[in-house]
Amino acid sequence: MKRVLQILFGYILFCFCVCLAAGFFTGALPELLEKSVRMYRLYAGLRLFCRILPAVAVTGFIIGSAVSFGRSPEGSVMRFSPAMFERYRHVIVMGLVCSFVLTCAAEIGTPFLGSKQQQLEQLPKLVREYVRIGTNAYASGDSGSAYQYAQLAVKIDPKSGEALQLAAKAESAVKSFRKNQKSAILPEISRGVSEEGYTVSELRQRAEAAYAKGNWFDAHYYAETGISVASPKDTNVELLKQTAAAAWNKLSLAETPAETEEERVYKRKLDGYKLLMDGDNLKAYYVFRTLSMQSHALSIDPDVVRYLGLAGARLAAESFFIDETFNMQEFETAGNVYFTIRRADGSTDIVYIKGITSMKGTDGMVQYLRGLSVFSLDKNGAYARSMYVQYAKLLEVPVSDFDDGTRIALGIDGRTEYVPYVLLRSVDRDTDGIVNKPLYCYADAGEEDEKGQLVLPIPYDDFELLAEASKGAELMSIPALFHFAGKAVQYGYSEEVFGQVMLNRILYPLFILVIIVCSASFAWNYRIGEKLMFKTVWTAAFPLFSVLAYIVFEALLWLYKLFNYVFLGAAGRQYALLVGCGVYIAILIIASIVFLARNSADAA
Amino acid sequence: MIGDVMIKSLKKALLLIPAYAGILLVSCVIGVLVYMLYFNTAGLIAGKTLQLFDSHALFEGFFVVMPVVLVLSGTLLSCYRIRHSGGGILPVVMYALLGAATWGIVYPVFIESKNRWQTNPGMEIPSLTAGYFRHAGKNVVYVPYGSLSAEECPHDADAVVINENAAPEDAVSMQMINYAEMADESAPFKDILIRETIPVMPGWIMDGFAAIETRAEYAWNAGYVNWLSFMSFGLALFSVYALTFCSEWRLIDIIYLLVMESGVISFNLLYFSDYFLQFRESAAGIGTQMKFLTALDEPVLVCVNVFFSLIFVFIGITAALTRGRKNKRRGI
Repeated sequence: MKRVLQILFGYILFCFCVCLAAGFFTGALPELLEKSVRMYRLYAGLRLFCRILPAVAVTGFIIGSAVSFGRSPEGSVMRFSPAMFERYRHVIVMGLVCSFVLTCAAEIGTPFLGSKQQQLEQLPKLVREYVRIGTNAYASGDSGSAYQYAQLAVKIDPKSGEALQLAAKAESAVKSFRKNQKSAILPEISRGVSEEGYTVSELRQRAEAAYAKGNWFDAHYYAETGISVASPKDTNVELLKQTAAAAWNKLSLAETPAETEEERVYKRKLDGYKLLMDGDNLKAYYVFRTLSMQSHALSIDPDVVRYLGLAGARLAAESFFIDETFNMQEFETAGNVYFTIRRADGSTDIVYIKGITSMKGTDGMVQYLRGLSVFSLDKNGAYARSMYVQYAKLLEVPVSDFDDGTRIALGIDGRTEYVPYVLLRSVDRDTDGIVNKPLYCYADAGEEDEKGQLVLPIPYDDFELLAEASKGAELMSIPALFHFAGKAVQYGYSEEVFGQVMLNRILYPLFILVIIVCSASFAWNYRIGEKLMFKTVWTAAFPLFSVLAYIVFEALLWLYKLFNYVFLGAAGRQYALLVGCGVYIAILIIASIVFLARNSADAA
Repeated sequence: MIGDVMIKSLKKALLLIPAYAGILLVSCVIGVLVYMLYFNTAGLIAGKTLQLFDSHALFEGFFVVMPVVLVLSGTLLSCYRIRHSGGGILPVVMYALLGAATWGIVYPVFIESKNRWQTNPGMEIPSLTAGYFRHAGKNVVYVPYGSLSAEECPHDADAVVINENAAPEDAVSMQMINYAEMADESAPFKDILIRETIPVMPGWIMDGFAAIETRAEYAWNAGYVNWLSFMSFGLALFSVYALTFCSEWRLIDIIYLLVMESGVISFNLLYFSDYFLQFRESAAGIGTQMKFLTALDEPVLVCVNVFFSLIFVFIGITAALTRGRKNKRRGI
């Protein structure tokens, strides 16, 4: 075994060096940044090594075993001799090691290196994209965004003339803009204001306490919230109504022309509060936001802080802020995600997302979707409508938040626990009127139904699987692939394809083990003579043997993939893995018997 | 003593006949089965059931696999001889006779039977299934309705197209798609989804063996002299076996054998390519100067094949004699 290991690792090391050299000195390069060229070549060399590693390992193993068996063939006069069992033990150990290493190279090495190369290939495009967006932003007067994009482009490619030029232009524009702006202390928006946190009786107590203190806003708010959450038979409702009416009367007293600054502020707060109560959370948010930015005193005013927080929290359920999506493209975890959603009425939505960035939010994962398109077809496959939005925010919401009627209307399955809830509208954090809205188009002009939110009637976990599937079945994690294979059809993907790739990847270690055991029999049959001198010139033939081994391995891999389709066709997706395992184990047993049956008669 | 050696040698030589027949049979059966699986998988459409057995594919497969097996028969027989070496001169003579029989009798009989029995593929062409995303060029296409095929729908048809390289706002659109182009792109598979998961058998291998087959049929139909010209290719392939006497380690013999066989096949294929255009043109003049060569189909190629065969045989005989003398000195 020692001799096999020496030859195997020596040969692998030699091929590793050759591959690195080949990576550095050969091959045409795609468009790259100057700083990326060396790394790209290193990755190319390593990728080449991972690609030829099976052939190299098989070559090293066969040559090592042929030398090892040839030098010490004793104890194998009879078939199934103890000496052969001892050799078999070593073969299996080597087989398991090779199997592990080759699987790691295929499952981790190649995808990792491929994605690294892809990232480097994307950098020049990313720089161009940032410069383009920045230039557009600069042209439309948004020098702040232009500067940010230019900075990003410069960070990636410090030598980019266009990016540097844009950064310089935008920076000077930002500086002159800042000089003209008053500085304002922005209070921290109190988060987590939740009217749902209290029971009806607690809300009544709070409303009464606020009324007693003369805090009419809070008194009215708590009373109204209590009424909205209470059941009609609740004894608190009557008291809550009385408190709400009394508080509203007090608030209404202020509806006279405001003369003093204090009255004007009170009037603004009241306007904001009314908007909040009417459900216009966006306008309410801007009223309180403007008040908050007006002065330090107002920024810490309890009413302003409280209702700004409340409006912000409500707004978060229907919109998000444009600045949340800033710089997201750089951190995208999935790209070109597409899938179908089939509705009960026979219509189909085709969802396409250009890029997804996953972030850890306060309430779990938040996904920002770049370039979201929903293309709807009617039950005849004809175009019905389409929607496009530059950026959307996707949240994971529990289905229990919807009543049964809504759930059924949305087409959500009863067993689903969480669904993706997509906010389509983004607004500026400080300025009213700056809104990114979804763009709707209809086949029939009369059918206009423009929403600012969208609920995807699929389990949230499936959405995550779909994002992973966009990388391709070969690059999905095996557990994700295992889960997705059975669901592929409903999202427009082929069950056969994902099932076959799943088999390809799960059975690969077994396939390698079979090859190693077969190679051991080959090595025994073609082992070196016991007293034959090893000639150095023979080593020149080893790379040729690797070329042949590569061709044979590729042919076997081709057959292996073909047979995996046969397992799927014969046993269906559920049992294909079981059947595949059974077949390869049977082949392994036969190959093992063939090896154990070798004896000295099969002499050199 | 000499009698025993002769009997042993004769026995080994005679054993080559069933062994060779077995090799051809097993190779052919395995090849035909693999061809049938490939044929059925190539015809698989996402969402439809895979047909595991197809008698037409099995029958068709025989005519595809057999010429490949015949061309590689020398290599297979040589591998057998390396594994079961020894036996003196008689097995070598038997090897040569089997080679001559393969190229002189079996191959022509096969071509004759192929002309008689092979039928045009009458397989039903399945249609594409709706409801799947498929790659078409640089785009992704979603076939929205009904099953469509290039045959049923030779013209353009509506489909949802996702253009990943377009500006995000224009990425998804309804477009006219030419289904025939999609079918061409996925060839030889019926569905590009399946093609993406199975590497297509390299075109150069398929094209190479198809070219050999075409040449063989042409040579046989053009007469015995042309067939003799074509047999020079077989001669070169079978004579590579002589090189396996060069090394004392059989693993190295295998490497020599496979590398040189690949070399002979590659040269015979590349000879007709543009790489050898200049060589063919300059050699054509020499061919016409020698009258006895003008009757041959490709005189230069024949000369090269025969020349290399003689070299291989010469090297093999020299190596065998040298080894024999060495063994004698050692007293083996």
